[in-house]
Amino acid sequence: MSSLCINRLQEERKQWRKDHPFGFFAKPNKNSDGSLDLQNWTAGIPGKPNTIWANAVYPLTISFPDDYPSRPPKVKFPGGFYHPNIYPSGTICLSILNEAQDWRPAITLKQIALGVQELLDSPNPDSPAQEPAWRAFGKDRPTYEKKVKEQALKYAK
Amino acid sequence: MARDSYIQQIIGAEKYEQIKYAKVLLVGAGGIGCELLKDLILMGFGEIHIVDLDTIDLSNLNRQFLFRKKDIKKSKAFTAIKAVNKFKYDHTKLVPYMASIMDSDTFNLAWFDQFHLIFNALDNKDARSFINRICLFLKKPFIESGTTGFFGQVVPIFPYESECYDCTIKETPKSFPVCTIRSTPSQPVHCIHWAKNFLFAQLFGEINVSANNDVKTLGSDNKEEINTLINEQNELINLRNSIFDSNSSLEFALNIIKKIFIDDINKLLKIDDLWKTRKRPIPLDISLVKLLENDRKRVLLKQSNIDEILSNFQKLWSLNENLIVLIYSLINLRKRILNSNNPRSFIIDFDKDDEDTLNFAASSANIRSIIFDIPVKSKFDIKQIAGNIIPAIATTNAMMAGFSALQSLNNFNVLQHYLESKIVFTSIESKSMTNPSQLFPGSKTCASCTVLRELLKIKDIDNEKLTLRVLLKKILNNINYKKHFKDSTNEDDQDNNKPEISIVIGKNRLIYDIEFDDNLDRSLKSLGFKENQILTIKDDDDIKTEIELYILEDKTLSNDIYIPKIDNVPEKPKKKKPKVEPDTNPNEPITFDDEDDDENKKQDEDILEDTDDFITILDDGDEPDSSQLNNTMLQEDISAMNEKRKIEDHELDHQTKKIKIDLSLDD
Repeated sequence: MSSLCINRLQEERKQWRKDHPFGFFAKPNKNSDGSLDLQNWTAGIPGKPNTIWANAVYPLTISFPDDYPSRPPKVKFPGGFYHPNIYPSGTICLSILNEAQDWRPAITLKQIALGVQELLDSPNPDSPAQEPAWRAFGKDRPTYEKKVKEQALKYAK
Repeated sequence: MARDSYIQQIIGAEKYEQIKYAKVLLVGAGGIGCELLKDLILMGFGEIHIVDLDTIDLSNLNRQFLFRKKDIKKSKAFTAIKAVNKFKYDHTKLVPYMASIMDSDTFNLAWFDQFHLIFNALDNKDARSFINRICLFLKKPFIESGTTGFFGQVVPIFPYESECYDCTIKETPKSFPVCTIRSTPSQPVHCIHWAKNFLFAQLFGEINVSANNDVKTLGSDNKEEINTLINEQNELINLRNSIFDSNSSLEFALNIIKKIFIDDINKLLKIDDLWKTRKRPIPLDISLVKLLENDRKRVLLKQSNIDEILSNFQKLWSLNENLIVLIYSLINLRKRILNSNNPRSFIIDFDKDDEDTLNFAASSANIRSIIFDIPVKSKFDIKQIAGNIIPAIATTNAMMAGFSALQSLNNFNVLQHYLESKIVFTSIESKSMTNPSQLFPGSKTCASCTVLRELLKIKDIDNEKLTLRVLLKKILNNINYKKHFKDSTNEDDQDNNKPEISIVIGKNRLIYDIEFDDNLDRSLKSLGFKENQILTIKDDDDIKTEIELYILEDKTLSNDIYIPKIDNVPEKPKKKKPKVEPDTNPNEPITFDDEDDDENKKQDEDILEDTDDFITILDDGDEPDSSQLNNTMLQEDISAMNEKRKIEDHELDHQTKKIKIDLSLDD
């Protein structure tokens, strides 16, 4: 792991501390020795108000690889998360988190968090990552909305 | 004539004496390492320590000439020094180690400090970056070298004086997004990745049983939907189970082929959105499967037929040939599982040197490629890609090792100044084999060599009284961050012990920042302080440069903690646009910004003018009301003017480039 990675993670922590969007949280996980693990974070993404995702904070894990920021962090919801663009494992299919697509080393944690929040209520039907949510979103909207609301209750604030 | 007379003539007897007493470290005893060890011994170096954690593999023997077939599985470092004994004319002292150079318990800072010079003959970025960092701490020169096929380079690095290893960003090996691998491959490598890491792993790799639990927690009334979901997740488990449930190996193989190359592709095809902009895959023709199913007499699957296909691993197999190889490998793999002691929990790992697993990956990747209209690859090529084999060529290695050895002479005052050392690249032009380049000064924004590095000595790390608060106070006393701290904490003046810095120990453990002071009264020991770890201190206001402290225990200290006095922590180069997301490449020197902007503006203006002209001409042509157009003279004038402007633009371009180059030299 290079100095670049450590410096950048310290910087991300500082930037987030000083300025982060309302209702979000993101913090490095605590190690057993009381220190914080800068490579593995837990975050919470609030659903946008006035959407079916509202009134809940969705838990996210973010892990930064050793060659971050050359490579994007891995960002995951809990396994089985109901959303057309989330894989059964919880991995998020989002272009800014994709090395081959729109990831750039300058993308900040804040941008990632906002990007994920945006994805929640604006799924991309062109890149399905799981069948149930993707199918319901396209063919059976009432079921889709019902499911999403059930999930929101599970993660209610 | 003595063997060393040439080198004596070149560098002089006196300087040659230095080499005889020089102690050097060679990191890596592989392709370049074997060559370099030979070179250094023949040059007469006094003492060479050689480190390699690897053992010798069959595939090394074509180029790592110090090793023989009988040496396979033995340590590279130890075997290498035995092999060179025959020509160790100068009684060079050789010390081998079979260990990772990054193991700081074996190799601490003092150990590295005993060498005059370090040679890198490594094969990975991590270890190179590591040596770079150690050499920055010790301000010790090292010579970096590397090859890929016909390309290679040798870069002498003088810490803080010339570009360090991290000054230029290295390309990271590509990884692929899941979506591309699972649903929309577009290159052979995607299919190979899928065959090896997804399909093979699902069928024969470690079993993942947690899949079922999530479904139940989703809570749905729709029974049908729950069933589809469970089915989906169970399908692959079922496939795996079919290893045991099938009546025959052939039935097992054909079931897998039907499911993977027909059913699954049809399922993908139902997702219309995927194929709006992509070519639709064409599932495998069922009649081919039927043909194989009815091949009871084993005409196609005759051993001699299979052997013939497999004998040609450079050939591009046809669809039929791929199917036959796949069936053959599936049958063999199934047999291996059934014949094992505990078939239900037996797993097979993919290995490029395991014929069955390689045949499986090659044929299934190719069939998938055909379905997605992607070019197929030969088994030979697929072995390279699946096994992450970087082609290595003995000649390139030998050349680069030679240049590395030659450049090392510059550390013994052969040149007027060692910074006259040269970087050497293999040339891509046919005229010359190699090209030299001068050394460049380090990048002002490099995250490695702009950092201030010092030692942090602790008398007794186990001393429970040494708390983080004590250390912090010491840091603030000795390192002059202070003025700046007061500025930033003026609201909270009585509490000067809470500076706005963040401290990380080791790889990634944050132990303090302004909002995380839980650990202030805990002992350094309990926070995991150990010898040979590095403490990184970062100024939260981003004004001063980062500081890295290398932790050493020193029982002879009179105080508990020793940190050198540093009065002037240098400031970081100022960012042009603070508080704006950095959109540009952070590596670009900041000084470029102004110039670039101006140049761009100039060019933009020129382009705008050009565009105006262009539009005028078009208007003239389109609009009949323009009498000017009839005047051919004028038209010619205009085109002549445009021509001229183009030339000027070209010149301007040239100038811009020049300015840029000049600037980079100034840096």
